[in-house]
Amino acid sequence: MKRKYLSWLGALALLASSSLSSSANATDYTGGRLTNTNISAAGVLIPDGARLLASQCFQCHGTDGKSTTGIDSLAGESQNELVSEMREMKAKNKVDLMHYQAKAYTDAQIQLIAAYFASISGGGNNDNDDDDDNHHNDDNDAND
Amino acid sequence: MNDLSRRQFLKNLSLGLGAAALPISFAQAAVIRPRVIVIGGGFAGATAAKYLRLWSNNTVDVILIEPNAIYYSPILSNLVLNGQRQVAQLGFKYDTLAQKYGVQVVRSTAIALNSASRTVKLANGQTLGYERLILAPGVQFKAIPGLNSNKVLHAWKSGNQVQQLRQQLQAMPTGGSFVMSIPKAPYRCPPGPYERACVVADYLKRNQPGSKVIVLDGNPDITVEKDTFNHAFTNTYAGIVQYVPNTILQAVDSNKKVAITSFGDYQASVLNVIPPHQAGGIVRKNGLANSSTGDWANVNPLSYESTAAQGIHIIGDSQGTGQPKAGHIANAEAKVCADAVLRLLSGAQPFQSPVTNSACYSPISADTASWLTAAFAYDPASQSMQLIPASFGASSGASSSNYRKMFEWANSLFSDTFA
Repeated sequence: MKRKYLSWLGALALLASSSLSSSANATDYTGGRLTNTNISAAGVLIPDGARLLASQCFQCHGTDGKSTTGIDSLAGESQNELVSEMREMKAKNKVDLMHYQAKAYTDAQIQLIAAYFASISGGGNNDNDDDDDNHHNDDNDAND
Repeated sequence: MNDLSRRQFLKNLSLGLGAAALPISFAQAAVIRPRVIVIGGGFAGATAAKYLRLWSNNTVDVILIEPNAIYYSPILSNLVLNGQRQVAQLGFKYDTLAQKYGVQVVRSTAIALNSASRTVKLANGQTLGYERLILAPGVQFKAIPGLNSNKVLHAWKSGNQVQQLRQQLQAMPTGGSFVMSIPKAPYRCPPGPYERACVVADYLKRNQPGSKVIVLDGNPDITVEKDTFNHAFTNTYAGIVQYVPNTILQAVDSNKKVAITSFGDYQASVLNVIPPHQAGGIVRKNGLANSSTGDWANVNPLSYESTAAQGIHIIGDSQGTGQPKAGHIANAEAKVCADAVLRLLSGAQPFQSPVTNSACYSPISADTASWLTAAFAYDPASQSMQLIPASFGASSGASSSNYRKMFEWANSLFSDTFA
């Protein structure tokens, strides 16, 4: 069972750098995500822009992080866990596709992406450890 | 309500005119919803249609205009050539987009756009109004003197052409030459032509010993994954692949299968010409291909809105942001566009810091593959998408583990786009 981490203060601080402001009276066609902060059913803060940044992971990890293949789901992963995995891959020089991808994002963006996935409940195959080639930190034998 | 009065009604709403000021027949605000039309059902268009519905909680009507009932993915299509995939396995229908997401799929072709009245005229006689229009027509090939693409196949848009090229390859005489021409960049799928050279060589090595693959590249060098492809050409397929850079195709004798180039004539047993690319016809005919070369559409990369026409967005291979032309990143662009369109419909501005990414696996043989990845971020200073250098990487050569991952990647992308 995964714990949901709330990082309100961290995420709110990130919002200060976000430049979007919605017009007050406009109809919101964005599924309620246009307002700067949004609390998901899982009780996780979804800052503005988080969904769009996270959606760049969907091509491989499935729509909303719910994988349809052997690639890991990200939906429902804890925010802290996702952040630490991404930071680890950012820091390492490894010839691995996700290690390059991780380097595309600032720490602030990683927080937003992780907040989004943490807000989605129920991934398909988060922990298929029998297929660890598809794990992001598939070089973690040293610390396992 | 017809499309024009529908648009005026929405305009009045956005200007804050109360329903009380409107005739009774217009007092149905609850049922009037913004409409976005998407033209083209490839990776870009299908993704945009899906996410406009998903991210608006179905509060925006989305019409997808696409003439074909089935989209055949160019991704993985080279594997048809060496017999590792069937064309039928690469086909995707629009049923899921329609049934699961409520996208209205209209099987027709757009024949005229009117950006002033915001209407699209279709070949089936319909005229449809829109609040926002998204064009995702893919690429169109440029003419080459003498080239008849029904005889000298491109096989660069998957489907039947790939099946036919497979058949030509199977019918090739032993000791024959498969000659292929690669256009100058930018073209669709940067590693694709080199990947094709490899899988054709793989087929010939196993089935037609003594046959050759001659790669006539319009570029000065292998454009991506140079180490991997160079290794494949000079080691894995040593004596089979002959790579000739800087070779501009000037004309083709389509009956005799001769490529006439800046380096002389190449007689082929099977000739495969991938012609130079430009934006889709609907983009060019409507004055939207306003890049410096006139080939591509300049857009604001925060929304993919054309810099030439308000309310028209261009995503995928036709856009001219400098991002690669390929399915995975077309999906990425479509999400940025869909998010921006929904914000614009809501009277807000697009998200100011989008990131897009490209990833792809390339088969090198029947059981090995390589990969390439890159990400792009919006740079406010240049108002353009810029490659993030640290995100740009490639596999060290080809491996069987990558071959397996290639199908996971492709199936995930197919699913995120069409299901």
